[in-house]
Amino acid sequence: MTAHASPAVLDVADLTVRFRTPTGLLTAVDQLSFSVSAGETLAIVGESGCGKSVTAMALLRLLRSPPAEIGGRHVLFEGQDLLRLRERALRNIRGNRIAMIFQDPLSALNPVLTVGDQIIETLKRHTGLRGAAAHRRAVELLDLVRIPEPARRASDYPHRFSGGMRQRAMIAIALAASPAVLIADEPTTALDVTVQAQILKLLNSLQRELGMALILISHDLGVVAETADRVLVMYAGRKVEERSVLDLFAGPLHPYTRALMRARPRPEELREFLDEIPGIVPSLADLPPGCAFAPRCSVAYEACSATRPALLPSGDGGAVACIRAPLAAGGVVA
Amino acid sequence: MTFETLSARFAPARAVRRPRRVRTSSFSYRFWRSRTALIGTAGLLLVVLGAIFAGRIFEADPLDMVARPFIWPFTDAAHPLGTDMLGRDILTGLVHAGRVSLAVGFSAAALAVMLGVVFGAVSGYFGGWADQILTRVTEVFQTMPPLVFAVVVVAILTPSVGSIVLGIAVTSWPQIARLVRAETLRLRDAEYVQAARVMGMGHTRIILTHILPNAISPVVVAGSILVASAILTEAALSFLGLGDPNLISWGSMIGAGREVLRTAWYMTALPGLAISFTVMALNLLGNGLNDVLNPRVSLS
Repeated sequence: MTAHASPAVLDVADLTVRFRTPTGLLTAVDQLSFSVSAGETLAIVGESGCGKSVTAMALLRLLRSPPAEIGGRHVLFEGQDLLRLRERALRNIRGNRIAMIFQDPLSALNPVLTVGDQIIETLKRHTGLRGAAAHRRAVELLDLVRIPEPARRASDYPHRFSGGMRQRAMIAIALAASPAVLIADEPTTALDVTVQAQILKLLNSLQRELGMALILISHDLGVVAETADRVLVMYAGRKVEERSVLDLFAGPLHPYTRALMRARPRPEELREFLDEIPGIVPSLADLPPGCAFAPRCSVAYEACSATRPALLPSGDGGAVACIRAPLAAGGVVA
Repeated sequence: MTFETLSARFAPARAVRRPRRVRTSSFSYRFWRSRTALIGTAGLLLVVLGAIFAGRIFEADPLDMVARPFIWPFTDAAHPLGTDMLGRDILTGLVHAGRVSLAVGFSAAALAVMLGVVFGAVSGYFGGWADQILTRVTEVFQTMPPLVFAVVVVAILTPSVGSIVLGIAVTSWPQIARLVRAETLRLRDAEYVQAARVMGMGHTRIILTHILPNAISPVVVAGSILVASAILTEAALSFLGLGDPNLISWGSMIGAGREVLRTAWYMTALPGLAISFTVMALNLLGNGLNDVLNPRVSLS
């Protein structure tokens, strides 16, 4: 809940990503707007295929185009619109001011380069550091992400690192140029639970030390509850709810968010089966005309499939896109 | 994934801190365990050393007439492998000819690998129209029989070591290009290549440090076999009289011996054996490297 009032580092307005496919144009991200300020953690959650990772890739224009078409009002970062920046200028921002870590740290590290060299590569690209100075900085970075014996470890190849250590190494590479924004795309999904907790703790403390904005993409609400300040829930490429983490977990407003919460294991009530959300995420090729969640929603009625619900303020600084949501501002609409 | 990668992935984190053990996945370890690669290397080394020290061991010019003609091998201690129809020492000739054959083989293969790597990487990495054009060009080259094509190139440029190297390289780069293109296509979407793009690396840098080092194993294997086939092509060209007239090569020795094949077959057989030996060594080395560099093949 920090820094909510401070100006945004990254401001995204109406980001839209479409994919040109043989069957037609698919809208993977639909007019998504959000912003994140320094020192703040924004979590983007949703099921597989809801557009979380595409959003992350689109921010830095990393999607291959064609087939992807990225549009929108703006993606403002440090006074520049990333949507309209030239590729060359964008490359100076990637890895330098905005960095990213991935889900699978094994495949995100080059197997034929030592971990140290991979950090040095980024240092050379974005900072003036060369030779011995770059090497010293690489060792410092490995130390920063709590890798034991960093000086010796720097000359090891990635296959000699454990899963958790590889993710630490990835974080070290991402932090090499002291970015203002770190995008973490499911950073702990490939790790086991104990390592997962360590990595999250590390990310949190590094964020505090360095004052970065963190965009955490996850489908794990447990991870989100521990880490995020603000949560953005996506469904079928659209934002359906955005609240502060405390408000969201205290009282989710969108039926989809509520269903997600119910589907998560809770230690206090042991049972054989978890609740699941019936059906699957609709194909982007034929989204229902109204609310995309209506076919799976337990409280939907006719009006839900008629028009697409607008995103309305929820009264506590958040927003929700559901005509059945009890709106704090104007009472219950439904 | 090598066994080590997998074991590192599934072992508990503290397993990494065990004292260093023999790295069964390392290149040198696997190389020393591969009998094929070792035999190939030994054979090639013998030929290469002979070529390097040819001037020291046999100081005479191989084209000099040093004895009476048609001395059969193993009959005269001064000329252990005999003399040819002009009285030139065959052993001296074989060793000196090895220089030319190896030089042509290695430089032609090197040139072909360079061309192939550049074209293949550009074509595979960028895709689109660049790929379209480059793929069509490779296909055009592949429609022509390589030997005939090489003959044409050498005949047009007049026979010399340079034109022979060029002729062989021009006919053999497409296979390397196709190989590198396929590898690049595979690696282009690898996560660490994506990660490099996320880190703001430029295209050249990504190709040089992230794609090529990971694509190089099959190229090394293909390259060593390419040296062998270049030596064969050079021999064929020299046999056809398209060799460098001022230099002696195994092919030209066979070509010269052809006329007396019925009475003095050793003049053809000995350089033929030298070619077979060298090509065999290179092929063994290539196959051995394939086993060594491919972690899925276990070495007995």
